[in-house]
Amino acid sequence: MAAVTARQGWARVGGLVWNARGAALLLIGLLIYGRLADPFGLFIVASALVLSLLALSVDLQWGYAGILNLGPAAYLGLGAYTYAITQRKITAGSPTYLAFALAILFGIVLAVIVAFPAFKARTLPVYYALITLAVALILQRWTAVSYDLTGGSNGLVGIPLPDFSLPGLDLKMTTAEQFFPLASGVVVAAYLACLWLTRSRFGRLLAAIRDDEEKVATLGYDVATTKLIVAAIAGALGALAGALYAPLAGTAHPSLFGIAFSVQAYVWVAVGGQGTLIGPILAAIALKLLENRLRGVSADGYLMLLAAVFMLVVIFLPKGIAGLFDAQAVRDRFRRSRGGPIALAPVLERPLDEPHG
Amino acid sequence: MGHLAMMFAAVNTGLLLKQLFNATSAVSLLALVAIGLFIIFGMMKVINMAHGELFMLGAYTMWWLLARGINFWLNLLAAALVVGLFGVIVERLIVQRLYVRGDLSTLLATFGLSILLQRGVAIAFGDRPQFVTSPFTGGPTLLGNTYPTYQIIATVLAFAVIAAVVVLFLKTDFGLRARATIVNPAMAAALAVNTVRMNALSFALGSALAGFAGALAAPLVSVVPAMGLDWVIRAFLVVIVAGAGSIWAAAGGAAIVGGWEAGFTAIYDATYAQITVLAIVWALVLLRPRGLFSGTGRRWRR
Repeated sequence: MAAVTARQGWARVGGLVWNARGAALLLIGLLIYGRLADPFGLFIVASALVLSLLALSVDLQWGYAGILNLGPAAYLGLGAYTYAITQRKITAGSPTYLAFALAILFGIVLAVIVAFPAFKARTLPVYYALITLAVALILQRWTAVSYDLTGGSNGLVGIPLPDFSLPGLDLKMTTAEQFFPLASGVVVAAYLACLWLTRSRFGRLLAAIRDDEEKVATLGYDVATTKLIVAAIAGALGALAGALYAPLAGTAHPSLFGIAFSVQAYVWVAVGGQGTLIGPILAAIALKLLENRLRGVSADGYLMLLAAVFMLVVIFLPKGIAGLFDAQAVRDRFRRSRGGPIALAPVLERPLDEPHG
Repeated sequence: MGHLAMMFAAVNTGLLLKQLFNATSAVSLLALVAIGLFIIFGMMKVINMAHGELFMLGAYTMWWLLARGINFWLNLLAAALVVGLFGVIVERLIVQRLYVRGDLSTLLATFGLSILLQRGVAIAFGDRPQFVTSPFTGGPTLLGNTYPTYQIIATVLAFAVIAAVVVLFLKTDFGLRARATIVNPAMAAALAVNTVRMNALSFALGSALAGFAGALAAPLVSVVPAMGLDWVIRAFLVVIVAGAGSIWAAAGGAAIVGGWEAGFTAIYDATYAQITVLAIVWALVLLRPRGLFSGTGRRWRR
């Protein structure tokens, strides 16, 4: 690699800061909200933030790599139960670090096991979607009948708040409000990590796989392993979301594996915009606050509304609602109307075999 | 002592026969659900995630009409008709718009539709199970076990409908056009097959089969809004195991998935039966990624 001049170096640092401006704005917004909001509002936004990690895992897979995991809630449930059971079984010392580590480890292991045959054997992309859906459903069933380990259909209650105390440093959490800064920090960190990942060489490889898998394979890249790595990272993110959600909610219940959480994550990604990372997080906060406003409406009604929004977005707005406000798209539209060089693009974007008119 | 052993053997044979019957009955219904999915998947390369909810709608149509005193056998036909028409609407409004984009957006949109239908029915009729009484009570007894008459008739009827679909596909003009569309849509279109109409018809046929299966199964299972999820996942596992290579693959895959699940449930437990089915599918995907009975799609030609 050629030597980097000072000017180029500064340009790179500037570029990184500019890319991370979303994280900075998010952090500032959360800090202000944390000062102003009441404890209940803090709880709502904290749970939105924690669950937005699940949406990030969906966005990484669907938005960047073009693979569909229809059971992301499997990792939410796995992380939650791992945290709860570790806290319950290990009484000596503080098992918090171990609980988080185990949750993430199990998330990665499950993701790799589930994804391995689907990617390595190069099946149709729908197979991964179907198998992940089946895995989530069966984990939910199994959790509901395994009374000894998981408390069965009653779930586990009284899950302790995390205790991050180190020797000589008291970081024990005592109230649920203290969860807000933790959730904010974790989500901003996860966002930055995903941003770095997707802007790296690896991220460009993901986008290439999403756009034309055959071509990438022909160019000599290991498509299966790349997809497997994405699935594993997404599994880790989902399990982390679960491990944070269990102490925040104080309970772990088989419904954590359920389709409602999966659909919710997809709706957040679809509304916020696939492949934007920040979009799903903002959508999570906005829709969670909206859900809280609509408490009078039944849970079924809310889920129906989510499903309807999701369908409409998939059918009419393939880039998500955020795609409407995409700065680049707006610029393109503007240039197109002036007959600039972009004018040819819509013709070329259309597949050749598609009937015209 | 010898007497006891003989009695034990007799009991076992009876039990085995009963389990075999239960497995056959489960397989016949599963094959009926899966074959609809197969036609849609084979024809349009589209995964209809709402297929299980079409099954559920069939069961609810049966329950709703039966509660209004309409004849059970008429309701079977009505369920097929209602759900088939619903399939036409879904095809027009959703699938036709999306399937040029590639299968994943269809999958996502029908996934949304399945939740919408499931929760819509839950709001309309509640989440509690509804009971559909079969037109028959009791049944013949063989080796100490009773075989419910309705279950026997439902099994026979399911196999008869599957046979009719196979005949429709292999022996009629419609079947020829349908298979041509599956094997090579561009060539079929060039030879004056209206492939857009074929797609719509096969979507309607697949939906009608799901609705019929739901109505037929209604007296045998508990009718709840979420009942479709179980069936659609089983039917998808059938597709994965068998591969969409031919119309026969649905029956073969259903025999493996349904038979194993029913057998394992009888021996041990229903949840672990599903876990083992998933493990088998996991291994099969690794060993035979295109399915056990896939071939090259050539078999649709005859």
